Order: sequence, then structure tokens, then C-alpha cells
Amino acid sequence: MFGLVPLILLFPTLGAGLNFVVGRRLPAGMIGCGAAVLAFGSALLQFSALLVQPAGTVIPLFTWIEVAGLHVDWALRVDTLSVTMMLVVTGVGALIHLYAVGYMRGDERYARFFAYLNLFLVAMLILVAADNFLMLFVGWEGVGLCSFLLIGFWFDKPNGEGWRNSSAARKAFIINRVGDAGFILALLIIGTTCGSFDFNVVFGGSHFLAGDPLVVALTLLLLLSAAAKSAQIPLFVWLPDAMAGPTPVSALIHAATMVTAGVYLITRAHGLFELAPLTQEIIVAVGALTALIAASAAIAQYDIKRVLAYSTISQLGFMMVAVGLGAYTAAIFHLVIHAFFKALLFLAAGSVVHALGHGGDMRMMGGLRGRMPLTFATYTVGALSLAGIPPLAAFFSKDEILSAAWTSHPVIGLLLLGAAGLTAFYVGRQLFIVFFREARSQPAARAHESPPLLTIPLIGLAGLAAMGGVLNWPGQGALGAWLGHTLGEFSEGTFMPAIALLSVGVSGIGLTLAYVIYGRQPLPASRCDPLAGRFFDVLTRGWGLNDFYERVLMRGFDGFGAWLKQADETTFAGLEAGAAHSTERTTALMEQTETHQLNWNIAAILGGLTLVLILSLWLGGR
Amino acid sequence: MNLTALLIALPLASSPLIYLVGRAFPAPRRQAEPVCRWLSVGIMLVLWALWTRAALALSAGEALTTALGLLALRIDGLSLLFAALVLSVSTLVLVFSSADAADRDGIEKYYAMLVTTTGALIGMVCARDLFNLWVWFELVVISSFLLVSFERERPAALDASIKYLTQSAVGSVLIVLGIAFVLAQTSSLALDNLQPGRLAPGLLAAGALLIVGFGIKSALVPLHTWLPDVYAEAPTRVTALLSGAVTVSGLIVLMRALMPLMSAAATWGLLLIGAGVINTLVGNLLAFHQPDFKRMLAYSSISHIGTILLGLGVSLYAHIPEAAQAGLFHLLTLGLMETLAFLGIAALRSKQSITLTDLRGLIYRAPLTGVALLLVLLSLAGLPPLAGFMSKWQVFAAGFISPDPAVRGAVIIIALNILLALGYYLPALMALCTPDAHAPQAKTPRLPLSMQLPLIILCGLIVLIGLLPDSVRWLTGAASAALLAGGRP
Repeated sequence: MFGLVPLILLFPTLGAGLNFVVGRRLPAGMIGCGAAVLAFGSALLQFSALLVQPAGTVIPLFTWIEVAGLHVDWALRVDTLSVTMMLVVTGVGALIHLYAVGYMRGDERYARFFAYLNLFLVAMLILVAADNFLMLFVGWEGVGLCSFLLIGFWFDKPNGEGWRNSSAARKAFIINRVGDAGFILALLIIGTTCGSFDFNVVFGGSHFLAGDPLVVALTLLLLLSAAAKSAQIPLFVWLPDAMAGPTPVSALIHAATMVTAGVYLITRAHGLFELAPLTQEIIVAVGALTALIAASAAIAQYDIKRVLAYSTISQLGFMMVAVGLGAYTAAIFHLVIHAFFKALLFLAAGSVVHALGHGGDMRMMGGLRGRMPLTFATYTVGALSLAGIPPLAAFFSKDEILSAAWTSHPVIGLLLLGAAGLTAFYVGRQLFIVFFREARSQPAARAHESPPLLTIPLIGLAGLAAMGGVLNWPGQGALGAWLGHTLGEFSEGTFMPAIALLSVGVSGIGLTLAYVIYGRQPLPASRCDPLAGRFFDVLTRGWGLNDFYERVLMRGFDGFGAWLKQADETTFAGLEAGAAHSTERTTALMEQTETHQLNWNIAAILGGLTLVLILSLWLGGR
Repeated sequence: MNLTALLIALPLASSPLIYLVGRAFPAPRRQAEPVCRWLSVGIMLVLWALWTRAALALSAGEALTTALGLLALRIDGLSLLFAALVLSVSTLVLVFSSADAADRDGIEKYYAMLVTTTGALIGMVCARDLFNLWVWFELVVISSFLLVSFERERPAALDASIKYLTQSAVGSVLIVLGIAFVLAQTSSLALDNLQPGRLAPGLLAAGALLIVGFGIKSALVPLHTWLPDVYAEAPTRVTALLSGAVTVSGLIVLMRALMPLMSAAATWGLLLIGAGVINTLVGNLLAFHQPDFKRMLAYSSISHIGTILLGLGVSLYAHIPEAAQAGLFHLLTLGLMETLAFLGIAALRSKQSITLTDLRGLIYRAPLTGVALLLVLLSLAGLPPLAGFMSKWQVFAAGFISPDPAVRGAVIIIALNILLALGYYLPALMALCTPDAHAPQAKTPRLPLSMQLPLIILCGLIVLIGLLPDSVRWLTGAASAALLAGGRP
């Protein structure tokens, strides 16, 4: 059974290849969808195999690199962690592919879109199935490339929108390069220290000592790349802009799967991170701050997808806290549940955007509850789950993280609790602005429910977002036991009734506040937010981190470039001119020897003979 | 008859036959050309078959020797490598010539001499004693002289051929002197007769004479003066043969001739390294201002010979077999690149002297020729992943194995010369790719297939060897082993 694991990669590869080459003449959407569904089927096969033999195995495919004592295989790792990720990637991926068939209908590059989407699945599956760091890096880069291609998918839209889309794609790519640099340096440390990139060798051997500066450096570098991929402070600025991509892309890549790769990486390499307590503390701090700051920024967004983008950043912060605290089960639990409800929210938002004719400004919406009942119902399920209302799934997963945080340090607990409250508030705000009160624009007044191709995936995901909690039901700990086979310890995940009560209370307050501000009375006539103000603007701009980069870093580089240009035009140009001039003069001098006269040529030969004779007698006689 | 004798005797014996068959036709002998051509091509194909058998036999560990009285010949790894180069170059030049030289008077002589030169070159690297080595060397000089002077109605061509002959003759005299010194000191001329211990001054002088004598052929500065004149004025396809096989053959026989004197290997190595540095510098600097594209290429080949000298010198001086292998690898790729460059120019079929202006926008006017020249210039300039980069890089890498500061310094100087070389390669590359605003953009007529084929094959080889440098390692490896093993089989 384990031997069939290459099928998971094979189907999306075939799908991508077919759609790239002959997609125009085939039903591209069906091919893309079919590939994702077949991959999900193969993942289920592996899952059933693991139920029998939970220790898993490694399936080597071929030798990749074989030089000077370094041996790297292309090998797929089948264990409970990787198969959990495969199930999420292919399962949620299949539903989103199905949704995209309807959402992207009529696009002029329809086949190309599904080719990219399948290619993304391949890269993401390589990432999670990799058995060594080098292969993981291939997937890591592959998902980055697909993310770039898909954010900028509508690069040719008119009126400057295409330019904005491609700028967003470039921004995502460049910021991820910062992280990649960290990853490459980490690879160098691993390669030179362990002489191998295999997980078993790196984690198994005693190459690193606890608290060793080398392992701290290594884990910090890995954290840098994880922070870029998973949009943590200070590298989260690309994710809100990435919403320029088509909505299925936002759902699949920028909510459910790719952005969680950082969390996965740290979980996978937990053996290394546990040797570096300093890095773990930094992870917790970064995660908690990100959770709070992104949640506060989400309050002040006007674009329906940007709210969800900041929400994603915030939720990734929760997961980071969990992995930093060593609560890996809680992190993966929340990762899975988040994939469900965030994909649902994005797709539902996409359904709204689709109905209104591609425009995400929430101020133009309102009153959609009656006109899009199915979208409203599923959206509400996802939103309440995100807000942490029991018994919806995210209540359980978030609660495990809160418990872990509270037991480690009350400050972290308080930060996360604050973030949870803000989460409930922005979720409520969005619900009320989009679906309640009166329609605030013509399209919103005329909107109607999306076709079944779009709503069926919503219903499926809504079911998962509501019921997902059973995966790790308090007291049962099924997921904990399952992951324990790979992570080496059984951690059931703690459920503390007091914390649960507290978090539900905070969520209730958040939702109530949202109702008081946004639900009870119509929005102000200026169509602005009732809370609008100077601080609100700062929040809208994501605490101004982006402005900081643009004003300080980019201008700094510009200045440095200008200075270099100046220096180049004066000092270096002078040096160059001097070098060129002296070369010219030497050449001119040598050209005097080009006499074209036989006499001189023979003379040169005799001169050469004399020289060689003297030299050889002198050198050989020594 | 055994394989070794056949490989060498066949071209020499069939060359008069080609001539006589050609003469049998009545003047103006237009019909003679295809007969002579196909006869020559047939002989080349037989030679390739023999070469393949020799390669198989050699890899199976057989000793390929023959002796006709005093004439002892042996095919070893080095002969095999060089024979491959010679056969490739002369076969391609032969095929290429069939369209280019068809309407020339005396074409039967041309084909006969081409085949003779091929046989003489192969024989030269198989010789096992100094005297025979010299005789073969003379045969190469004379047969190639006749090729250089083939277009005898042009005064410049005659002038160049006289220079070629005279300076080669001077070289011959010095070689004979060197041989005489060796014979006087050791009373033996066998290449396997290694002189033990410290060399007597007479033998050191003999080595110096041999270096200078063969150095003239392979254009060691300041013995290089014939090369630009001859490359520029000889018929361009003959220049392809000269630059691709004849010039570099001097290096191989030089290494062979020094074999009995190997107890002073460090001295010869140091001399060759020094010559390599000077060759590279002088070749590059003089290439700068050449208005004639062929002269520019001639000087660039002088600088490339410097790189080969570095590889061979390092292998002698610091006992690094990899350096010999890399040097011979560069010799092989240089031979192929030079052949392609000059065949590309010959494919232009324009006047004798070519300037950069003539090359303007060539890749638009004549795509195949333009791309071939583009590729070969990039390869000569050392751009990865082409063959010229691979071989040059291997020479440098092998040089850096040695911790000796003199070697490393030489490597660094020669490597830095790549920058200098860009100074003349880049303008040529730009000329090729810049559309010519003044000249009409009319495409030149299509080349005949017999001209296209050699260009395509050589382009393919340059790309292929660059991508898979290990594909010729079995040849260069055996050659360097044979070179460093000295006479011992």
C-alpha cells in the first residue's frame, strides 16, 4: 500500500502537464478537478494503510544527488504527520478545484489556471512528503513560484488593476526570497554539520547539542523562512496584497495550505527547535504579537478578502504560539480546522464577490442575507467557528492553544485572549456589514445566489468547519494519538473548562460589540466606518509596517543606489578609463612587433631560442 | 597487416591514387572533383572504422604496435585522442570543401594533400623514436604547405606560404640539432629510453632546442609570428585544418619529444607554464585592434594555446595528472572550436579579408552561419555551458590542486585574461547580432548541405561536450595516462 504513494504526486503532475499542453482543447476544469480528487483518493489509501501500520515508512524513488560523499535521494515519507497534511491539501484542494470550475468559467486562460493549480498541489505535496530538507526546499520554492504565478494571474486587467495584481505577485515573491535566503543558509549549516539532509540523520544523530549557538542559528534561520511563508511579523505584509489573486487561489494557497507550511516545517523539525529554547521563546513572542496585531488590523479593513487575509495571519500566529510552546498536536489540529473554516470563508466571500461582479468593497454590500441564503448560512457557520463559538470546530482547536498558552505564561495567554476577542469583533463586523441591514449599492440590491457548482463546496466545507472538532474531541484525543506515532510523544491536548468559559465570554463580548456598532443602526451616510479616525487608519494600513518598508528600506536602497551610481560615474569610471587606456597603450606597443617581415620573424625565433636555452640551463642546472 | 600500420599507411598510400585518378580525367577536369571527393570521403570513413577498432582494442588492453625495419609505431591513448581530433577535423573540412573548392583548378591535388596531411599527422603521434618523429613532422609541414599555397594566384597567399615554410624549416633545423644532442649524449633515440638522474647540460640544451623547434609549430610567443599571417591568408578552409589539427599537433609532439628528458620534468613544466602565461597575455592584447576578423581569431587561438600550455606545464611541474587531462581536453575543444570558427567564416564565401562590418547582422542574413559563429565565439570566450568553458575551467581547477604559489599565480593571471579577451569577443558578438541598417536585409542564398552539415555537427559537439564533459573523459583520461607514463607501456 505504501508503495502507491507516488500516485499522489503523479495525478496532479499529469493534470498539470495535460492542461499546460493541450488544455485548450480539453475540459480543463474537469481534468484539474479529477487530478485533485484522485490525489485525495490516493491520500485516503495511505491513510488506511497507516491505520494498520502507524509507524509509516519511507519510499525512495531515485537517487537525486550523488557527489563527494553526499547522497540525497528523492524519497517520499509516509507517516501520520505527512499524511495528515496530504489529506488536508488534497481534500480541501479538491473542493476548491471544484469551486474554481464554476468561479473561473469564461476566463480566457482557463486551462492555464488549472495547470497552475495542479502544479501547486504537486509542489505542496512534495513539500509535505519530503524525506529530506533539500527535497522539502524544492517544494518550498515550488509553492512560492505557484503562489507568484497565481497572485498575478490577472496581470493583464485594464485600468491599472493588472499592474496592481502583478505588483502584489512580485511583492509576495520578493518577501519570500528573504525567507528563502534563511532556508538556504540553514541548508548549508545542516549539510556541513550532518553531511546529509535526510530527516532521520539530521534529527536522529547527535549532531547538535542543546543550546549550542549553531543550532540556535540554524533554527532562527528556519524560523525566518517559516515567518516569510506563514506571514508572521515582520514579514506578513505580502499576504493582504496577495488577495489580488482569484478567490480560489486565496482560499487554497493563502489560507488553507501554503501559508501553513511554516507551521509544518517547525513541527517537522521539532527535534531541532527543542534543542534551542531561545528560538522557541522567540517563536512564541512572534506568534502572539502577530496574532494580536493582525487581528486588530482586520478590524479596520474595508475589503472583504483583506479582512480574511489579516484573519489568516492572526490565526497563523496562534499556530506559531502552539509550535513554539511544543503543543504540536494543538498546532496541527488548529491548522487542519483553520484550513476548513478559512477555505469556507474565502469561498463564501468569493461567492459574494462573484454575485456582485468582482468587487470586494464591503461598503458596497449589505442586506445579502435574504438574497444569498445559502452563502449566508455557510458563511455564518465559518464565521462563528472562527469566532470560537461552541460546539463549532475552531472552538476546540483554538481552546487547546489558549490552554497551552495560559499554562506557559499568563502574558501570552492574555495576548491570545485579546486576539480572540478582536477576532470575534471583526467577524461580527463583517457579518453585519455584508449580510445585514440594507443594500448599499445597485449590484448588492440585485445580487442573487451563486450556482450550485459554487455552493456545493461551501456546504461540504461548512460541514467540516462545524464538525471538525471531533478530530480531537476533549478527552478522546484521537488526533493527538495519531500524530504521536510521528512526533514521538502522546499529547492528548488539554481542555480547561475555565479557559473555555473565558474565551467563549470574550467572543460573546466581541460579537455583541460588533452588533451594537454595526448591526443595530445603518452605517453612517458617508459610507465610512463608525469607528473611523486616525488610529483606525493606522490599523487599516496594517500598523504601517508596509509604509515603513517603503519609506525606509526602499528609499534607503534608492539612496545607496544613487550614491553608487555617483561613485561609479566618478571614481570607478576614472579607474576604468585608466585601465583601458593603459591596455590600449600596451597593445599599441606590442603591435610594433607585427612587422609581417620574415627577417624579423626569424630574429624573434632566435631570440626565443636564446631565452629558452638560458632558462633551461639555469633552471635545470640548479 | 595490423591495425596500426593500416591506420597510417592507408591515407598515405591512397593519396597518390586520388591524385592519379583525378589526373586521368581530361582537362579542365570538372568531372574529376566528385570522383576524388567521394574517394577521399570513403577513405576517411574507412579510417574512422579503423579508429573505432583501435579504440576498442586499446580499451581491451591490447598493445597496438607495428615495426617496419627501423620505423616503430605504436597507438596509445594519446595517439588515439589526437587521431580522433585529426579525423574529425579533416573529415569535416573535406566534406565542407566539396562545395567550396569544386570549381577550382587542380582540385585533385587538394584532396590528395588533405588525405596525406591526415595520415602524416596520425603517423606523427604514433612514432616511437625521435628521428621518425622528425620525419613525420617534416611530412606534415610539406603537405600542409602545399595546402596553404593552394590558391597560388594570390600573392598574399604565396607570401604567407613562404613564411610558413621558412619558419617551419627553421624549426626543423632546431629539432634536428636537438635530436643530434640527444643522440650524442645517450646514443639512443627511442622515446622510451628515459634518462635517469640529473640531466647533463647537453641534454638540457637539447630540450630547449626541441621546445623551440616544436614551439614554432604550436606558436609559442615569440615564435608565433607566422601564425596570424598564415591563418589570414591561407584558404579559409585550410586554415580550419591548420588551426584545428596541425597547430595543436606541435604541442603533442613536443610533449612526446621531451619524454626521454623527463627527469628534468620540473624545468620543462616551469618553462611551459611561463610560455602559457606569455602566450595568453600577448595573444589577447594583440587580438584587440585587429581589423581583420581572421587575424583576431588567430591571436585568440594563440592565447588559448597558452591555456593548454598551462595544463600540460602544471602536469609536468607539479605531477598532477588531472592537469594533463584538462590540458588535453582543452586541446580537443580548441581544435573543434577553431575548425568551426574558420569553417563558419569560409561559409560566408566572401572576399579573403573579413572585418567586423562584414559580420553586421549576420544572424539575420545567414542564420545558420551566424548562429555557428555566435556559438563558437561564446564558447571561445568561455561562456558556460559550452565546451570552451568546461575545458578551460577544468584546466584552472586542476591547476589549483597544486599549492605551489607559482602555479596558482599563473592560473590566476590566465583566468583574469578571460576579462581581457571579452574586450574583443564582445564587439564581434555584438556585430553578429546588430541588424545592419545600411546594408539591405536580403538573405544570402542557402548553403549547400555539404556546408551545413559540418557546421551543424561542430555546433552540436560544442554544446554536447559542454553539457556532458565526462563524455570524452575516457579519451582524455587514457591520453594523459599515456602521456605521463612516458615510454613505459
